[in-house]
Amino acid sequence: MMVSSELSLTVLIVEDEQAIRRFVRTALEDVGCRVQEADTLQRGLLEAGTRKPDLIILDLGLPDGDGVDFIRDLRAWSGVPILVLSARVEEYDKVAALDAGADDYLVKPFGVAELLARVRAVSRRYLQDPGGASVVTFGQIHVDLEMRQVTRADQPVRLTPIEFRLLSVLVSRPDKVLTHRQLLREVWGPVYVERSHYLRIYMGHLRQKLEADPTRPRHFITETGIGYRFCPA
Amino acid sequence: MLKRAAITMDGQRRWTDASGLLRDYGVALLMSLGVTMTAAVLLPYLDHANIVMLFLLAVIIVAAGYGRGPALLVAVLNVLSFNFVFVPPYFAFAFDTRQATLTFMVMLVVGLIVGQLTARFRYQARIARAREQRASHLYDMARELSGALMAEQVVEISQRCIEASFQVKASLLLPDERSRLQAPFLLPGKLPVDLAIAQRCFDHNQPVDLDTASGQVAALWYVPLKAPLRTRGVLLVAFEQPLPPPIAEQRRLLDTVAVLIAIALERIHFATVARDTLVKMEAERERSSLLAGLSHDLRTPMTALIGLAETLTLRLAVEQSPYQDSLQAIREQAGRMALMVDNLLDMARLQVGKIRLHKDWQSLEELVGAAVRTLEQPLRDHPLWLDLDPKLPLVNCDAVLIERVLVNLLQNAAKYTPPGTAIGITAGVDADRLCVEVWDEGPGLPTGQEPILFEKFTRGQVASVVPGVGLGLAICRSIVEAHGGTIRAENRAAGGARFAFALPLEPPPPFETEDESDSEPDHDGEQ
Repeated sequence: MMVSSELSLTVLIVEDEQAIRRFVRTALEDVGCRVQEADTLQRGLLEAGTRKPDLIILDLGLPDGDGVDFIRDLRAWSGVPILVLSARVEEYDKVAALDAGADDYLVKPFGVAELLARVRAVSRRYLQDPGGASVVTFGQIHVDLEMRQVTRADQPVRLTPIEFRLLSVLVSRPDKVLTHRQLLREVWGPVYVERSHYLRIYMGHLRQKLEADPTRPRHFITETGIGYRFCPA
Repeated sequence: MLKRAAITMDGQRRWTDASGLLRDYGVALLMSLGVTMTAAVLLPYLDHANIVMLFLLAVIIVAAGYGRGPALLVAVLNVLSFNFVFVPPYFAFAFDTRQATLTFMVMLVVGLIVGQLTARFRYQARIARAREQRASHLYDMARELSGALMAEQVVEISQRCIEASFQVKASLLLPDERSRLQAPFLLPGKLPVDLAIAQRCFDHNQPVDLDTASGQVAALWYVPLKAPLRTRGVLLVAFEQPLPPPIAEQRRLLDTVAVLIAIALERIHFATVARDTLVKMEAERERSSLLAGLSHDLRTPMTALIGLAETLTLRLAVEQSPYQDSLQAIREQAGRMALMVDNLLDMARLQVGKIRLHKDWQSLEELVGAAVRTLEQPLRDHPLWLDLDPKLPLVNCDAVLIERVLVNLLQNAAKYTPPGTAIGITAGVDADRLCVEVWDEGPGLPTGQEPILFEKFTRGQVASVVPGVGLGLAICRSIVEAHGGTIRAENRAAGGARFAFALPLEPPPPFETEDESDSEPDHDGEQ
């Protein structure tokens, strides 16, 4: 289950609760990460600037300020991946954090496996070459982004231009949660960011065409109230 | 001054008593007498023509001071006394000479005309003064009303100002929340108020100033307080004596006063609404920040507990430790506790104050998928039947909360049925409602218990071995009802329980179908 030194990242934890810092630190050090801690947003910004971490884990409920502002500040000069921790009541804070530039989120309470899975996914995306692969394969589906061709069990699948655009935005960022606004802006354009029903309808089409059981999707996952996530596995 | 203010356009005097009249005519008499005596004294030094001037002067003075009637009296008396004293034969009336007749006629005509003109000026000056007085009263009233902060102040100011400027008794009737007029607070003396008439006046927005029985102008007027948006109450005006018919100006003035009061009341109404809203928003904000804080504070130790237990479990697994099972149990119990905390916090959030719905167009299929995915673990021992109408329309709801309903219902089904029992979700459209059903083939609900299941802290089986505090269904009901929907529980004919909820459907939002340029046209359209 445990693979040592699998991840050699420098991780900054911005969290006011010592017990959580300790557990996250233990879990991350077990897989080979170096961990730095900050207990306030102020200190977190400072550490982020000086230590140049590969990943920031940020608690949204810090008492000394708004985590979303922290993300905006940070994004002004850094593209470092940010993993947000939040309590479930703060659903709409999570969306704000993701829209502001956070990469993913974890809901408290979370387990070690969940934490490590998210850390891996976020850092993998960050370290990957930004061009990305032009061919993506998941389940029985084969997508050639350059040729604009999709096959399902070697049978061609016909997608409309918007369906294809939506698919390519999703598959180009595997395991990342994309908010409704982000998807609407990228696929339909900035005018459409409030018309989320387009997204619902086209997501339904994609699932109809690409999922084995559209009601119980395995690849195009709904993050209720937040957005969608593409899971290749 | 106030008595003078009560003079109307046609010159009728009201509230001027007989003694006042007597005094005016007495003055006229004395004036006539005085001028005759003065002229008699000055006769050796004056010409006859100048003596006539003196007599005219007396007429002007009386006309200016006391009006037309006394002026007329002085004019006549002067002519007579001039003739009597200064026209030979002295101390006898003589109308036989042409000279004397001419003087007599000219004096009388000049006296009458001058008296008339002067009296008219005097009267118009008084009218002007009275109008100015009223304008200043209105101004004072408007100023005072603009400073009023409560309806009670408006009532008090209106009463005082109306009583001062009209010499009447006045009061206000204000409606309660259900638009029923309330008996006047601060009732001056005893106004014979008929609340039924007042209510009619208020409802129909029409003044009532006629006595229905006699058809005469009533002693008690009901004037609706018409503000720009709605009628704000009724102004009561009680006259001490019935008014004679031409009352147009009084009425106009009262209408103006009524508008002033109405606007003041409307302003206060909106100020109150604004303040209440502010207070409510403040309370809402405080509540949600309290809950967020509580949630954060409760979840933080749970997170640490679960996380540390899991880390330790992983390590012990490597060492093949005999304590693995205990640690696994700690991990599971902590997880259960976290769920309970979630439920309690949700209940608090839904019960305290109004639920704020983040509505959006949602696909039920997607919400079912998300709920099923969330419950992958608890549902793994149950065959799951999903039967969703493929043509389900989008439903305008709060995705997070409706998913919560589905999760709670599925969780219940998994919890209260033995492993292997089939569980299913059926959804379809019934007229303008989206109907969703979560069913199972388990033991069913205890008979007679169905309605109380949705109460807080109720569980199907009394003293059951299944853990839980029974908040799940209460949460479901709060959420569904906040959406304007209904939820019920019943036993299925085929055995097992069924929980069904329905959400109202709304006309779908506009949707532009895609122009499929590089694929084959879709003849059915996309909608």
